[in-house]
Amino acid sequence: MFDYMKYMRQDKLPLIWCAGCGDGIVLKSMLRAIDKIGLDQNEVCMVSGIGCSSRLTGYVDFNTLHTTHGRAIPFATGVKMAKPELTVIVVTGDGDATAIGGNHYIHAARRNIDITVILFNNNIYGMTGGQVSPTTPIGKKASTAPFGNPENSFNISGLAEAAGASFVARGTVHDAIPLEKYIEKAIRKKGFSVVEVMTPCPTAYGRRNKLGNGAAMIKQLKEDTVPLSRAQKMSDEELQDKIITGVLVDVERPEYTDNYQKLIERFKG
Amino acid sequence: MNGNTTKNDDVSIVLGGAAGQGIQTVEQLLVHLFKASGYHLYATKEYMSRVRGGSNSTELRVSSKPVRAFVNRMDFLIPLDKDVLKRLNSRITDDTVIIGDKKKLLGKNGDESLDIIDIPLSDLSKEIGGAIYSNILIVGALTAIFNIDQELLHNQLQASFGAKGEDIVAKNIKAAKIGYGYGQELASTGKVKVNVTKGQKVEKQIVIDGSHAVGLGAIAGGCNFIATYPMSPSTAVLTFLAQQGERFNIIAEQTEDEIAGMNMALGASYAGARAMVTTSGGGYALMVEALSLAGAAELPLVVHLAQRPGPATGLPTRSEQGDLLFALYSGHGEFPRIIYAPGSLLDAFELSQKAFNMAEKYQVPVFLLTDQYFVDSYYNIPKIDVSKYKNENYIIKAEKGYKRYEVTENGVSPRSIPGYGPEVVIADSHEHDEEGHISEDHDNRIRMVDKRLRKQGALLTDAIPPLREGPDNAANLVVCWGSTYQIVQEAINNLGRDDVALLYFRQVYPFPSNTLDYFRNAKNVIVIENNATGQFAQMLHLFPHIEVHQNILKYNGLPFSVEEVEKELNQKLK
Repeated sequence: MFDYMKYMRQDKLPLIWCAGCGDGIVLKSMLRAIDKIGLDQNEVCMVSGIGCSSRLTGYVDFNTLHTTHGRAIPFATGVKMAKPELTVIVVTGDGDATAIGGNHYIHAARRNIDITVILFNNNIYGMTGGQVSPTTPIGKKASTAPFGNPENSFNISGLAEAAGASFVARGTVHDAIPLEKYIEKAIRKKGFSVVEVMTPCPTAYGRRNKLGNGAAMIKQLKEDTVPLSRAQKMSDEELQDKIITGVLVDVERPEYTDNYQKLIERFKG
Repeated sequence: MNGNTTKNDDVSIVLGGAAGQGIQTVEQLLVHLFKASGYHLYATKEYMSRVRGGSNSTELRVSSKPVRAFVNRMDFLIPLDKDVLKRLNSRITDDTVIIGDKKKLLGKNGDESLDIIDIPLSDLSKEIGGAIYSNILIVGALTAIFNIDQELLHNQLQASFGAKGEDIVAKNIKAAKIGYGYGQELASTGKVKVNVTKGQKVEKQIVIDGSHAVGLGAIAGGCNFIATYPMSPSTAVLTFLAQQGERFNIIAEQTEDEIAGMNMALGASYAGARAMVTTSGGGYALMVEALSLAGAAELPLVVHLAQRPGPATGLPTRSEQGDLLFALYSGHGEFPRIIYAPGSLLDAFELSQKAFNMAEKYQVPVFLLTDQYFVDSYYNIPKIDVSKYKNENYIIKAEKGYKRYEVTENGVSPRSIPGYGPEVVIADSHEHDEEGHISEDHDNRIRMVDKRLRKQGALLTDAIPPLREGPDNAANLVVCWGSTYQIVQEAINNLGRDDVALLYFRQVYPFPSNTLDYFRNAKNVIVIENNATGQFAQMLHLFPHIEVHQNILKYNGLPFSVEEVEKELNQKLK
């Protein structure tokens, strides 16, 4: 049995997450990945924003920073620039990273700074009462979209890819073993890495849209999942409303702190 | 002690439990039932920043006469778990009647000195179908104690749970009946007794909270555009206007962040919409850049700023009046503004309605400064006669030769909107000339600055004077603003002294020209504020040059209670 407690601030338990929330599965997958890489707890710096997923940093025994809403990525960028030897991991949600923090998200990808972003995508603002997020599917209800969301939603993995991220993977909390592998690869990758994790929010999203409890929503994730290898043989119509999982991007690109170091060395002569 | 307790005609009931235990459902049910039964009522809540767990509570006051303020006193305490007893311990007195599941609350190591009237909620609710029915058992018991018509209760349960199916409704009604039985027994044995009288008038009144009062006022003021980013405790105004969008033609947009929200609202305003944003401190910090654009482009805008304790994320679900000076000085550059701070629900409605008209009339940003305590507090008020409130239209057609920023005597230039009339309408964030074109001419700069600042003087003609209550020659003058008003008012009434007057400011900036008159006879000026630095007292000193003798400040994240203000005043009155 894996010893999760080694990484937990046990006096802060229990977790605040609701029954049926998938965030705990992501937390555990992340801890296993970190353990596998063999990182010293003090070599890791974990930064989060505001929201349910961002509360994670309160429970784990690393160097942690719980910042303001949307600002985890710029904060983490500052940490990485000042101390490039740290493994910097950002824990954030769909609203935190792609609404209020959307600009930071794409610019960090463009810089290709060596940060790993674990993005919990639950399609809603859970903590503040079910407001619409940039990944709430069109037509679905939210407290601020009571007649159904009239807006198109983001493909947030695609966004990271287009903006220049070195590594992008998408997983779901139904498949915790692949998820652990994606996180491990993302942390090992030199460059901006994103793991988008589809995770259910039965309280603020499922209930309002009559999607059942957490278990039912996780089952639905399984049904909607199409691995990348299979998706490549399918048409756009067939892939409508599907979740394509796997390593979507894994390329070598110059990394920002490296570039910066080179610049310093050049001017030092 | 609990043995034989007769309660008076103003009863405070505190319900506490973890998030997710259904306290809000109970609150909503009881608010409706008490009101429909003809009782005056007041409700406020305090809660932790989390979806599940933690420890939250709601205070309900049920009274024979109007009640509108938070009291520390707990006549009844209904804890759904042990944490509540621990957290609210300092408010429990010998007169507090505690009703709950004795076994669950006391457990193994419970405080045996606490006298708890037992209703075995866990066992009963399990029999009915699950722990969640504890709530309705409690509602049933309270309706017996307060002599509430059971048909009313059952109809309300049908309305609340009908969508979940007949089985759920039946279980809720069963729980209500069992709870009623327990309540009746308590009442008949004289263990608990209340003496609150019902009135016909209340039944026809409405019960709203601060968010709804602001939202309804916005609708009455013609608001048809809101773009904002969610932030506690301000979001309920967005949610409400989004829900009402269909009925009142309001565009409600949840943006990617507050920067976008504020700029969108300004774009809509430029195009002729009556636009608003609703936010709290941190979100407003992001909007500040765009506020300055409103100042330069002279665009009408209403900002609902629901304050919560900072700095930074602070206490997200708590209350403070800490952003007054922030609102006053926000935005780079010098430009006029109006700041309202409602202290009652009717004021919130009226000021919100007026804010839209003042924004249009003077082409300035108008602030509505509330806080968590204010937006989350409910009470009954008479129905509002909306026909009394008129909206004025200040938009004119842009005829040939129209100048958007024409220099006028009072600084207000005739405002047109794009597409209305043959001439174009120009706006620029740069300094501009009368037509709206960029200008670096220094004489023009002076003309434009002076023109904009003349509006600050002009809008004084519409200034709302402070409200003074109490004898004219009172030596003690207690000053408050915004959400503390009705708390301070009740405290002063309780003191019953003839040498104390209350002065309540609902327009906190700019100060009306005759402000000094209200202070003439005062020998001891005491300013009460829910912040740490006495921000309004600083403003009184700076603008109308009033000497403040003493401050009463609170900044632990909670509102003042009536008792606290009484105690503080007893020490500070002369």
